[in-house]
Amino acid sequence: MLKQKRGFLYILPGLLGLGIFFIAPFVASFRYIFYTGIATPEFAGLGNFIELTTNEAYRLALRNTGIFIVIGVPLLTVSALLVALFFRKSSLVRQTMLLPMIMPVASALLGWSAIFGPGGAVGWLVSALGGTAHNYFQEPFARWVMIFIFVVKNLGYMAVILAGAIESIPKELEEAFALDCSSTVRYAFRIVVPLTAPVLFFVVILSTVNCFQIFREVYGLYGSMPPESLYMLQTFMSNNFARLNYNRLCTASFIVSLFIALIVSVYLYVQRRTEKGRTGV
Amino acid sequence: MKLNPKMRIIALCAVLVLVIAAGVFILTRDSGTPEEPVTAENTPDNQAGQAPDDASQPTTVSEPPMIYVEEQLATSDTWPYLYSIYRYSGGGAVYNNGQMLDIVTQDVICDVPQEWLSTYGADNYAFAFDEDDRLYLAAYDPEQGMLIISKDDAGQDVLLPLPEWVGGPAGTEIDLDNLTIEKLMVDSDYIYLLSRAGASINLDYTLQIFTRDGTLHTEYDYVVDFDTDGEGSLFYAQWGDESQAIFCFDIASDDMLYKAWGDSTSNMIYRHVTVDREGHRVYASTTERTHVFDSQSGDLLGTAMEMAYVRAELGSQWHHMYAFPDGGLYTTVMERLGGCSLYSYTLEPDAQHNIPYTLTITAPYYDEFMVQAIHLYEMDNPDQHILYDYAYNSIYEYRVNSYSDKYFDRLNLEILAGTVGDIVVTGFDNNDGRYDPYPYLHSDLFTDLTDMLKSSPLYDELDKVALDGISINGAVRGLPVGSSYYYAEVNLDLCEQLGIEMDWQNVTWSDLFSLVDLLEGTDYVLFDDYAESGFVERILVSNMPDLFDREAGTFDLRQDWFIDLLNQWKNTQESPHFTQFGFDVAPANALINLKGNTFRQYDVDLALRYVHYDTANRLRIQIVPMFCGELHPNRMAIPTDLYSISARSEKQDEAWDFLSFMLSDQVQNLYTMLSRPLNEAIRNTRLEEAIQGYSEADLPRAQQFVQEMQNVYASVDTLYGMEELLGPMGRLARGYVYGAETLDEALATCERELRLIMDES
Repeated sequence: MLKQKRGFLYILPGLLGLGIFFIAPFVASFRYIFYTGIATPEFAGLGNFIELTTNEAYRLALRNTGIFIVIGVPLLTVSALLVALFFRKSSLVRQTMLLPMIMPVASALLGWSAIFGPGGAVGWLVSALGGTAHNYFQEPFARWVMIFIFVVKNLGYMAVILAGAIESIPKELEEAFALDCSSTVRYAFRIVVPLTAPVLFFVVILSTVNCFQIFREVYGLYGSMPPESLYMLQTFMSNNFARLNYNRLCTASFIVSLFIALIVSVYLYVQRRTEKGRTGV
Repeated sequence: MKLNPKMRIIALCAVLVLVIAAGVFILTRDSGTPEEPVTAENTPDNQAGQAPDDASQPTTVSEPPMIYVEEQLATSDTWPYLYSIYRYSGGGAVYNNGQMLDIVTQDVICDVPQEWLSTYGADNYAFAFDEDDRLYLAAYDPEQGMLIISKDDAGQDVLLPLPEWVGGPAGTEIDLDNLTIEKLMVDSDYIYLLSRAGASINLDYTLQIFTRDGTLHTEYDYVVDFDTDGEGSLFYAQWGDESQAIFCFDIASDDMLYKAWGDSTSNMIYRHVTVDREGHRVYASTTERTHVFDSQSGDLLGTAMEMAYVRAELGSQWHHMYAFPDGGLYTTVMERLGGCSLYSYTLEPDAQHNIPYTLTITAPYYDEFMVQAIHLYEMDNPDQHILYDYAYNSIYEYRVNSYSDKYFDRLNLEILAGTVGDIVVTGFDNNDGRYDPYPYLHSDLFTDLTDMLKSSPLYDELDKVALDGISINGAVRGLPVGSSYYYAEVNLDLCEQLGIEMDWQNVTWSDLFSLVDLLEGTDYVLFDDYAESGFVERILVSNMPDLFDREAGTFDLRQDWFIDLLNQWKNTQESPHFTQFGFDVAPANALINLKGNTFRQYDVDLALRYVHYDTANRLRIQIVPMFCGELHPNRMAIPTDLYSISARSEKQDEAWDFLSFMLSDQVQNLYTMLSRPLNEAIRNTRLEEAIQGYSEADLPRAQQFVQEMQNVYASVDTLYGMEELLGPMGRLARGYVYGAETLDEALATCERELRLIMDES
C-alpha cells in the first residue's frame, strides 16, 4: 500500500501537468463542440458533427489518414519485428536504431530532400537506369515517400521495444523451433508473434499515434497545402486553426481523440483477456 | 562517493525542484510589455540609457520619451527666410525679412547686407556668425569660385576664396543646378563648410574644414549635418552603413574621439545634429525621433523626442535644429504646403504616464500614424492612456520575420484565447500579398461595427463604397480607416499615334489583349516592364469575384468567359509586343504601365511625378483605374489601415470612441497617414493640397492628376484581394498561360486546392 502511495507521488507532477495542459483544455473544448460561434456562442447540438461529416475537406483528410494508418502501421510493425529479430545480436545496429527518431525534423527533411527531391539521389539513380526522374515529393509518389519516411523514422524505436519483448521469450523455445525449422521469418510469425502479442499490440497503438505526428514532416515539406494524398487530419485541423474555425477544429480533434481512446480500450481489453487466458485470473 | 538510495532520491528531487524553479523564472520574467501601469515612480524622466561597453556597438533605446509642446514662432513664404538656424553668442538666429533675428526673443541681431545676396550666390548661400558675432556668407561666384564674404571694421567687404573647395578652384566648370551650400560655421580657428558641387544625390555632401586663411585643413565625405562644441570637437552624422551613429573628432588633430550609436532597431538616418554647448549634450534626429548623447563621452542618454507625439509634419520637414540646456529645442521647418517656419519645443511632464492603460491596440508593427493618432486622442481625452502593443519595430522587420516567426499563429491563439487587445489591426500594408483579412472579418470574434458606424455623425462623409467593399454577410467587422489603391498609366502619345481610342474606364483585360495585334510591325509593346507575378495577380483579382462565392463556399473555374480569357492571355503573351523587360526599357515604348499604386506614397510625390512625367520621359500619360474583369469591374483596393474591435473586449464603447476618433478630420489628415482616408472630404482635400504651389503652366496638368486620382478612388468596389485564393489561381495561370501544362491539368490541380481552401473556410 505504501509502495503504491509512493509511486503515486512520483507520478503526481506528471499527472498534474497532464491534467492542466491536456485534460482540462480538452474538457473546456466541449463548449466549442456543441456550440457555433466563439464570442457569441449559439447551441448547435450535434450540428458541428453533421457539418464536419459533410465537409469534403474533412472526408478527404479522414480517408487519407485512414489509408496512411492501414498501410503504414502494419508495414512498420512487421519491419520492426524483422529488424528486431535479425539484428538483435548486433550492438552497432541497436545503438544506431534510435538516431532517426532523435534527429530534428528540419535537419532530417534536408536529408530526405536530397534523396527524394528534385535532382535528388533517387532521381539520379532512376535516370542512370534509363528512366525519367521526378520530384518524388509530388503526386503520385508523395504518399509512398511519406510512408517510407514514417517507417524509417519509427523503425528503430519500435524495434527496440520489440527486441526487449523478444529477449523475454525463453531460449528453449527458440532452440526447440530451430530443431524443426531454420527460417527466422517463420520463427517470427509462429513463435514470436503469439508470445509477444501484447507488446506487438502496444507497438501497433504507438505506431498509430505516431502516424499523426508525421504532420511535422508534411508541414515542413509542403506547408499548409500538401499534395492531395497527404492532406490528413492534422493538416485539416491546422488549417482550420489558421482560419479561426475553432468549432470545427475542436469537433475534429474530439473525434480523433475518441478514435484513439477506442483503439487503446481495445488494446487494454485484449491485453486483459490474454493475461486471463495465461494465468486463469 | 556513492550515494545510498535515500540520498540519491533526495539529490534527484533537489535537481527536479531546481529545474522547475528555473522554468517558472524564465516563463514569468518580464518580456518587455508592461503588465502594470507605467507611473512617474517607475519611469523617471531623463532616465539614462546604459552606455555600451564598446561604443562602436549599436544600442536599443527603450525608456519612455519626454513630451514636447510645439509652438510656431514665425512663418514666411519667402525663400529662404526662416530656412536655417545660425549659432551666435546669444544662442541661435534665423534670417527673416532681411535681418538676423534671435530665435527666442525675435530681437534683431543685425541687418543682412542685401548687396551680398544680389552680388553673390543667387539663391544658394549660407550664413554664419563667428564668436564675435561677425556675419559671414558662403557663396559661389562663377568667376571667383567659392567665397567666404564678411565685412571688416570699416564696413568693407572681405572676400576669402577657397581654392580647395570640393567643387574646385575658380574657373572650374560645375553643375550649378546641383550646387548646394548647405551649412557654414566660423570660429576663431576654422571655417566649416558643408556643400556639394555636382551629382544630384545627397551622398555627395562633403564637410570641409578650412583654416582662417582658406587653406584646407581636413574634409569628411557623405556628411548629413554637423556641429561643434566650441571646445575643439566636431560632431557629425553621415550617410551609409553607419548612418545611426554620431562621429566625434578632434578638429585640430583630426583624431576620432568616439563613434556613438543611436537606435539599432530603426533603419532611420540621423539627419540633424546640434550641440548644446552649455549642457554638454549632442542632439541627433532621425525623421522618427531625437536622441541625446553626452558630448564628452558619447554615452547615449535617451530619447528626447518622438516626432509622432508632437505633430504631423515633423521629422522629414525639419531643416535645422538648436538645443538649449533646459532641453528646449528650436527648429526651422519646411512646411508641407510651402514656406518655412520657426518652431519651439518645450518640455512638459507626461501626465498620461501616471494613468493605468485604459485601452490596448494589438498591431503587427510600429506605425507612426497610429502613434500620432494615439497621442492626439490622449491629449483630447486626458483620462485615457492607450497601450500600443506591436510585435515588430517596423514594417520591414515584419515583412522579413513574420512568417518564419509564425506571427499569425500566435495572433490567432491570442484572439481565440481572448487575450488580444481591445482593438486589433486586421488590415495593413500587405503589398507582398500574403495576408488575407477575410478569415478574421468572417468570424464572430470581432464586433460588427455597422450600427456604430451608422450612428456616427461622420457617417455621411465616409466612402460608402469602401464600407460596402469590406462587409461580409452584411456585417462590417473591420473599419478601413485608410486604403491603398492600384491604377494604370496609359501612354496617350502612343494611343494617338496608333489611333487607339478606348473607354479606359470600362476596358477589360481581354480588350487590352486584343490591342497586341495593333502593335504588330512596330517597336512598341502593350505593357511596360511588369514583374510577372504582379501582372498575373492584377488580371486574376479583377475576375475572381465572378469565379468565387466565398460566403456560399462555391466556385466555378470552367465558365466559358474565363476559359476564353485564359486562352487569349496565353496566345497574346507569346507575342514580342506583349511586354518589355530589362534595363533598357523605355516607358515611351509601352502603351500601358501597370506599376501604379498608392502604397506608402504621398499624393504630393505622385502629383510631382505625374506633372513632370512628360518632361522626364517625353510622353503624356493618363491615370486610369485598374482594368475591369470580364463580367464586372471588380476593382480592388487594399485596406491598409483596417481596425477591428475584439468581440470579447469589455471596453466596446471606449474602443469605438477611439476608432471614431480615427475618422475625424484631424486624424484622417495626418501627414503620417500613408493610406488614402476613408473620409472622402479629407481625401479630396489632401489631393487638392498636393498640387498647391504649381506654376500656371503646370497647374492644369496638376488638376488633371487630381481628377484622375479621384476617379481611381471612386471606381473601387471591393476591399478584398482574396489573397488566400490567389495562390492556386496564380499557379493555374503560370502552369497553363506561361507553362507547359494543359488546361485540364492546370484546372484540375487548381480546383483541388481551391476546394480544400473553400471547405476549410
